[in-house]
Amino acid sequence: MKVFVVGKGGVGKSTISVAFALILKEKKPLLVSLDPAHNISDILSHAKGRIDFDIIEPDFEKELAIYLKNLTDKMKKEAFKYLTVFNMESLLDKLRYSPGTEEYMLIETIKKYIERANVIFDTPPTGLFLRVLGLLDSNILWAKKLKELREDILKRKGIRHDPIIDIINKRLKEYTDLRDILQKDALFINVATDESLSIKETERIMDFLLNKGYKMPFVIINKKSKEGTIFKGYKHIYIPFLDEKDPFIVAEKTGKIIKEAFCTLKLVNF
Amino acid sequence: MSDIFDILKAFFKQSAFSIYDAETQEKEKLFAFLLYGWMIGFPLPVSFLGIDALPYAEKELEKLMLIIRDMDDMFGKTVSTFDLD
Repeated sequence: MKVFVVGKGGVGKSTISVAFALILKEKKPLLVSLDPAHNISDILSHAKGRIDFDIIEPDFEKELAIYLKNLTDKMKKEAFKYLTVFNMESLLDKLRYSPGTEEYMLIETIKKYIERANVIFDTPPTGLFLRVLGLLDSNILWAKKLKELREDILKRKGIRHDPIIDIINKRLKEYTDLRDILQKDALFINVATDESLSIKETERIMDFLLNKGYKMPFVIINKKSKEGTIFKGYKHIYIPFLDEKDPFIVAEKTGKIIKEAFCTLKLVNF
Repeated sequence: MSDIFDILKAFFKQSAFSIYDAETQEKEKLFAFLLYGWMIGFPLPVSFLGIDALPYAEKELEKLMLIIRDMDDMFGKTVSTFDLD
């Protein structure tokens, strides 16, 4: 099972991610935090040896620095004389802060772990995560167009072997495979709280996911108060407000409620 | 009479070749621009496909330099492509 827990900031995505990891603990799941402000370890710090699953909280800045260093080294090895003309090293350094970099690193992280049989991704707040899914689509389109253009150039020049077309083909395959997995196999758990703004945002996320062909979006209304809104939109379940101080106990109780509700609704076979 | 045809044939053949060549060069420049336009100040998103290809993209960066050079004189560039005096 591949689960993506999405939603607005502060709605309880990390708690619900831990809850899913606890539900799937017999199947040795992997819990990956894609949110740069990692909360998972804060929740699990209260668990004290009760954790039966693997957790990954990647350091995106460090991974980007490694990627850029490897790239610069490779370029130097290839005796790249334009490295100095373009002041390439400083350009690459500026990439760290350029738009699209954070989204790219998130796609790379998803790609790295998506093949695991049971994996749960605790995603960053909606705005960023929807940009990541959007970037995946635009990367596929971009790579297809570049491939057409490059193939035309190579045909015109009679060149058979070209490392650039190899890179384009490799990336195109990786991105297409990833999108296929996300669209066909991933369960998108859209977490909202029981308030109108959160509900409105949830409806927008659900529309986005369904329009983009993601087959399994589902809503969890978290921390529901007795007098709260009744959500009449997509398939959903409610988690009541749990008056507990220990976030791990909240995750455990939430897990039990989700498991029971999903079994009753015959949504997912845990 | 056949000489005239041969001359015309040779002229058009040469002209077709040079146009084909110019077209190919333009396509190469477009490719370089799409991958690396952000490096020369165009508001394009950074393409990580381009970043991955950087170690093999020396020729594309050369093309990028040509784009910068030709941008000052697009009219002159067009005239020279079609060999007009």
